[in-house]
Amino acid sequence: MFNFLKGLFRENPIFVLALGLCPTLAVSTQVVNAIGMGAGVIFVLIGSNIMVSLLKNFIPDEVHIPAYIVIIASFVTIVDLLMQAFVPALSSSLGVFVKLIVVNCIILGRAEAFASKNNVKDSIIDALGMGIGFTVGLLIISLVREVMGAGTITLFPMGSFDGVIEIPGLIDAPARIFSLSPGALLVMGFLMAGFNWLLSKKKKNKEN
Amino acid sequence: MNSKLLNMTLRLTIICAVAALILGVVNIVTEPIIIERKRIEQEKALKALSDGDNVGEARVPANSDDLHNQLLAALIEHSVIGADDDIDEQELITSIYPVDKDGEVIKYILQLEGSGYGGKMIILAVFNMDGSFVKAKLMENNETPGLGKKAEKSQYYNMYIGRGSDSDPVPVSKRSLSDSDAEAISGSTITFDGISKALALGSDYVKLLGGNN
Repeated sequence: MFNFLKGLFRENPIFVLALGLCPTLAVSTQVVNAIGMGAGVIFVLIGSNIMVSLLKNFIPDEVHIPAYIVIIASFVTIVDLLMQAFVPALSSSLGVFVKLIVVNCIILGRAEAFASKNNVKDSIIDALGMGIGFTVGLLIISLVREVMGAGTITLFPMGSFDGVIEIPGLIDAPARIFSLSPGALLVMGFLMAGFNWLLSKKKKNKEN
Repeated sequence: MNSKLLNMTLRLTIICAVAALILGVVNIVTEPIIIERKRIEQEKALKALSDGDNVGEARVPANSDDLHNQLLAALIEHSVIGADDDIDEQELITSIYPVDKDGEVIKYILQLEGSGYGGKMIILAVFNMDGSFVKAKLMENNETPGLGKKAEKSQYYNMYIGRGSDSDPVPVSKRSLSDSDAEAISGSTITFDGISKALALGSDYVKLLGGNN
């Protein structure tokens, strides 16, 4: 349980470890992107953690980084092809960032720091915790950015619902800066500060 | 030492080979789905743009120096490109679909490539034989939601409708727009530039095609 929860709060990849920030800032313009990117990262994290954990005795130490990269790149390519085939709209809106999951520090970081030293079960739990922590972080940033910057919340279209929820009042006069790159950094900075404040408060309470 | 090196190489090769095999299988499964999906998407867009008229086979721009020079002259005249600039229409116009009614070509649908804030944009645009703009649809793009993404809506193209003749060319700068149109594109000038230049190129190209072909 600890392995799962630490990814959500104490070691949240975005707000605490500050890993994988480049795609985080780039794709968080729409909520649907956050969900898609999060799902992709969770899939790749679980897959690569399982494989790295299974192969930890087979992979020679000297070449463990290239071996991890091959494993991670394979899972990313699978995600990319599946997205192109089954959720093309998402695939085009995430663009190059799906491919860039390969170099996302969270994935290689967990393979190196956790999966290569632990068993499969713990590695899956670690991947789930980290993956969900990443997705939640991405969701919070994208929600703030899309609501403030475009006055909409974009989800997947289903049946007669076209996937876009319009926020009355904001849709006509959104603060565009949030949709642009400076907005991403601003939101990220404030959320990071808030997250760290919460964590330090919790720590203080514990000490007292 | 040698056996250690051999061991490492062998193990890494095995990992790579297994990965390649798995990826091959996934590719075999997904490739036909991706191709079919793209074809359907294109067909749907063409059908919506042609207003029920018959869309002919896709062609690519002819490789003719004469046509290229005429196109350059028209684009320079309409301030789409500078006097010293050159373009490659075969790269920017990826497909030409003639639209015919009772066997007579009445319009052209051009698949154009523009460059926006988020990189490449694919635009399908309809032009009358005289080069005047009818309507368009933004296909693949990576524009910013709330800003450039507005170009996905059909209303975005109202400011271009009917324009494209020599006396009233496709607007390529904010100055040639009405105040309300200029207001509507504020914050997404790069998207507007990319789309306008692509449409202006399409318009001038269709004019050169004229009633031929």
